[in-house]
Amino acid sequence: MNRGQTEFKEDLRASVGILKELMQHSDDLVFIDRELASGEPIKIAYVHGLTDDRKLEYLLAKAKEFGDADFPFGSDDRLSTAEQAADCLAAGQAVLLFSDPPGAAAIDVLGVQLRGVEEPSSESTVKGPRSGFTESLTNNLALVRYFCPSPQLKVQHRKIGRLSRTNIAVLSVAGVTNPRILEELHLRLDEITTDLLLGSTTIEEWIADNRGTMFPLLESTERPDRVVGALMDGRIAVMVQGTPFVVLLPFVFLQAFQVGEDYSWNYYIGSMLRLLRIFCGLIGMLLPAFYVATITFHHELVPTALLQSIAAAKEPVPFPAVVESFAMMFAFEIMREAGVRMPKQIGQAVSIVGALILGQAAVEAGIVSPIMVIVAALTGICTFTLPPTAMNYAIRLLQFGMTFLASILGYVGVVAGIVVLLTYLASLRSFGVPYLGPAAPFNALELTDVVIRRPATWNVKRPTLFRAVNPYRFRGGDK
Amino acid sequence: MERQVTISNFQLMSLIVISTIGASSLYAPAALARYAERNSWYLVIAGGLAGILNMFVFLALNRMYPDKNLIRIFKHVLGPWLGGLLAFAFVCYFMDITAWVLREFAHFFIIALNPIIPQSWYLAVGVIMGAYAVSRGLEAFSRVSEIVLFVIVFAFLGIYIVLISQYHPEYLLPVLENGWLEPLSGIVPVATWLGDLMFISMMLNHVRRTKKTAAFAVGAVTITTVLLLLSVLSCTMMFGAKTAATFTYPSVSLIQNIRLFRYIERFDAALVAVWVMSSFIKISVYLWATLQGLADLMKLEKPRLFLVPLSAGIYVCAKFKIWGLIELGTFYEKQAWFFYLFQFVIPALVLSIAWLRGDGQKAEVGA
Repeated sequence: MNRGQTEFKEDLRASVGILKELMQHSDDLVFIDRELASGEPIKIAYVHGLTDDRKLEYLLAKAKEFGDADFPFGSDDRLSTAEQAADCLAAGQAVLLFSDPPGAAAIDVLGVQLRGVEEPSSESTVKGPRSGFTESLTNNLALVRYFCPSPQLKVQHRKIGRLSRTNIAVLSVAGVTNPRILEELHLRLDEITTDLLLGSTTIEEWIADNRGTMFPLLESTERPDRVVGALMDGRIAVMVQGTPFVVLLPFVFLQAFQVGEDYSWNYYIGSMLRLLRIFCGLIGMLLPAFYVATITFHHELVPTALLQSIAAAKEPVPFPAVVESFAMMFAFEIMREAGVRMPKQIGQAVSIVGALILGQAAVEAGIVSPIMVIVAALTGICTFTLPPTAMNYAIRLLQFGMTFLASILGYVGVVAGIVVLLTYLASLRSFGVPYLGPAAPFNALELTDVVIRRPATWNVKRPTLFRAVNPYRFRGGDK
Repeated sequence: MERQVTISNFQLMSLIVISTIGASSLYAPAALARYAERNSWYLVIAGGLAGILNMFVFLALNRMYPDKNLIRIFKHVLGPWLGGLLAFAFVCYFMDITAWVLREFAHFFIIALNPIIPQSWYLAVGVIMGAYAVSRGLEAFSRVSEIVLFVIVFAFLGIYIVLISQYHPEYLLPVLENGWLEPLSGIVPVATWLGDLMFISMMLNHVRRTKKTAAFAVGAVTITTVLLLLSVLSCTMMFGAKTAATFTYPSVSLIQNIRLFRYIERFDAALVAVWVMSSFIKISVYLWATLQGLADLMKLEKPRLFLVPLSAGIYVCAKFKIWGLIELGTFYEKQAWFFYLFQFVIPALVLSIAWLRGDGQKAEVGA
C-alpha cells in the first residue's frame, strides 16, 4: 500500500514512530520490548487480534535466545523498508525491529478465527467427498495438496489490490498445463489495477476475455476434488484469500452442466444425469417460449384432443398467453429470490404460500390458466437441476427474451433467438478456447466426454480443448 | 477485420451442405418432377456431378492463388479495370443472392406456416440474424454451422425414415423409359441449386489448408446430393411424380403425413427449425461474401461500418424484388442461366484465362 522507500533508523523509537505513522496511529498496533541473546534491544510489533496467541507467546518467550539471523517460524523475511514492514503488520505478521544494524524482519504469527472445513452448501453431493474450501488460502492450498500430493503441482503466489494487497495463488501442474495459457493468465493478472480485491468474482471480471457478457467465462467451485480434476485436465486454478470460491480456467459452455458427483456414480447413471441436466437447461430456457408460440400462432400443430383441453382451461382467462407467461415467470423469480434470502424456516413458508396458495388462487380467480401454472412450475424446477452458477441465471434471463420473441414471431422467433444465441456463444472465448467447444468446433470423441460421462478407463487422453502439454492421462497399452 | 480468420475443413463442409440443401430440398421434388417426372433422382445425380465440377473450378482457382479470394483474383488476372468491373458485378451478385434467399425465407413461412405475421417482419428477422452473424465474424457462424449441420442432417433423415412404411417403390417404375438424355433438360436449375456453393470462392483462402480440403469439399457436395436424392425419392414414392409436381413445398406435405403413436402429428415445427437455421447460414455466408467483396473492391479499412447500410439495402431489395412466390419460382426456373453465369461460366472463363497466362504452372512449380 505504501510504495515509498523509508529506511529504518538506528534509534528504535524513531523506527517505531515511522511505523506508527505508516499505520495511521492505529490503536490496535502493539510494540513490545525484548532483548536478543547478544543483549541488543529489539522491538516486536504486531496488530492485536490478528495473531495466534500461542505463536506470539512462543516468539516473545524465545526472543532472548535468538541469534542475529535465525528465526524459528518459517516465512521469515528480512525487510528493507518501513513500508514493507507496515504491509506485513497489516497482513498479520509480527515485525521485529533491530537497531544495530537498523533493519526489520517479519515472522508469520497470523491467527484468525475461521470456520473449519465443511460440506460446501452450493455444491452439495449425495455421494463423493464432502470437504469444501474455507476462507483461508493456506488451508485451501493444503486441501488441494492433500487431494493431489504431486510434486508437479505448482503454486505461484501473488498480491493483488493496491490497498487490499490480497494474497492470491495460481495453481497449475507442471508438464500438463499449457505454459502459454499460464503466461496469459499472469499477463492479465498484471493488468489488474484495482485497489481492493474482495472475493473471486472481482478477479473473474478482470481476467475474463469478454467483460460484457452474462455467461460465465470462468468456473468457480468450492470443492477441492473438482479443482484437482480440473488441474489434471490441464486447466489452471486461481485461489483468492478470504473466499472459499476457487476460479478455474479455461471454461467452456457445456461444462456448466457437469457436476463433480457424476464421477461418483456408475457411468450409466452419471451419463443419464448429465443428459437430464442438459435437457432441463433446454426446457428451462425454451418451454414458456414454445407454449406462448403454440398458443398464439400455431394451434394447428397441437393434437386436437389436447388443444381442446388447453382451450377449455384458458377460456376464463382474459389475458393473452404472453402476459400470463410473463406474470407467472416473474412471480416465480420473486418467490425464488425470497426463498433464498429468507432464513431457512421461513423460506419453506414462502414456497408454500407462493406455490400453493398464490398459484391456486390465481387459477381460481381466472387470472392465469392451470396449464400456464404447470408450464411455469416445470420451467422453474428444471432450472433448479442446474448447478447454481452464473449460467443458471443466464438461462433464467434468456427465457424472458425467448418468450418475447415467441410472442411476436412464433416458432420462427424462437428458432431465430436460438440461432443468434448460438452465434453469440460461438464468438466467445475463454482464454482462447472456443466457448462452444467441443460441440463447435466439433470433436466427436471429446463431446462424448462432456455430454455423457465416459467410463474412467476410456479417458486415456486429456481433453485437447485445454491444450494440455502432455495429452495422455495414461498409456493405453498395458491393460 | 478478418485478418487471421481461419476455419476448418469440417466447417467449410458444413457451410456448403447447409447453404445448398436448405432451399433445394424444399422445391426440388416439385420442380424436378416437372422436367423428369419419376426420374427426378437421375437429374439430382447429374446435378451433383455438375456441382462437383463447379467445385473444382473454385478449388483450381484457389490452388493457383491460395491467398486471394475471387474478387482479388479478378483484379489480378484481368487487371484493375476489367477485373474491377467484373468484381463489382460479383459483389452485386452476392448482394442479389442474399436478397433472394431472404425473400425465399419469408415466403416459406407465410405460405407453409403462418400468414398472419407480415412479410416485413420475417424479412427483418432474416436480415438481422445474418447481419449479427457477420458482425460476430466468419469463425463464429462457421462454428454454429457445425451444430446446424447435425440438426439438419438428422432432421431430414428422421423425416424420411419415419415415413418408410408409407412409401410405394413401384411409383419409381419404369426407370428412364425415355432414355438417358431427355430428363437432362432440367439440368440447369439443379446445377444452380448446387452452384450456390460458389460463396466458397470468397472463403477458401480462410480455410486452414490441408491435403483433405478438396475431399471435404467434394464430401459436402455428396452429402447434399444424397439428401436431395432422398427428398426427391421419398416424395416420388409417397405421392407419385405427377402429384408431387403440383405442390408448392412437397417436403412440407411429406411431413404432414407423419403420424407417430397414432396421435402425434404435424412435425412442421421441425421444418421451421431446419429452414430458419439453413437460411440463417445461407444469408450469413452471402452477406459476409458481399461485405468482404465490397471491402476488397473498394479497399475499405473498416468494412464493419458498411454492414448496417448494406443489410438495410438488402432488406429493401428483398422486399421489392418480386411480387410473389410464383414470380420467384418462375425466375429460378426460366432465368436459371443468370445464376449459372456467375456460379460457373465466368469463374470457369477466368480460370481458363489464368491457365493461359501460365499462372497454373507457376503454382505447380511452387508446390
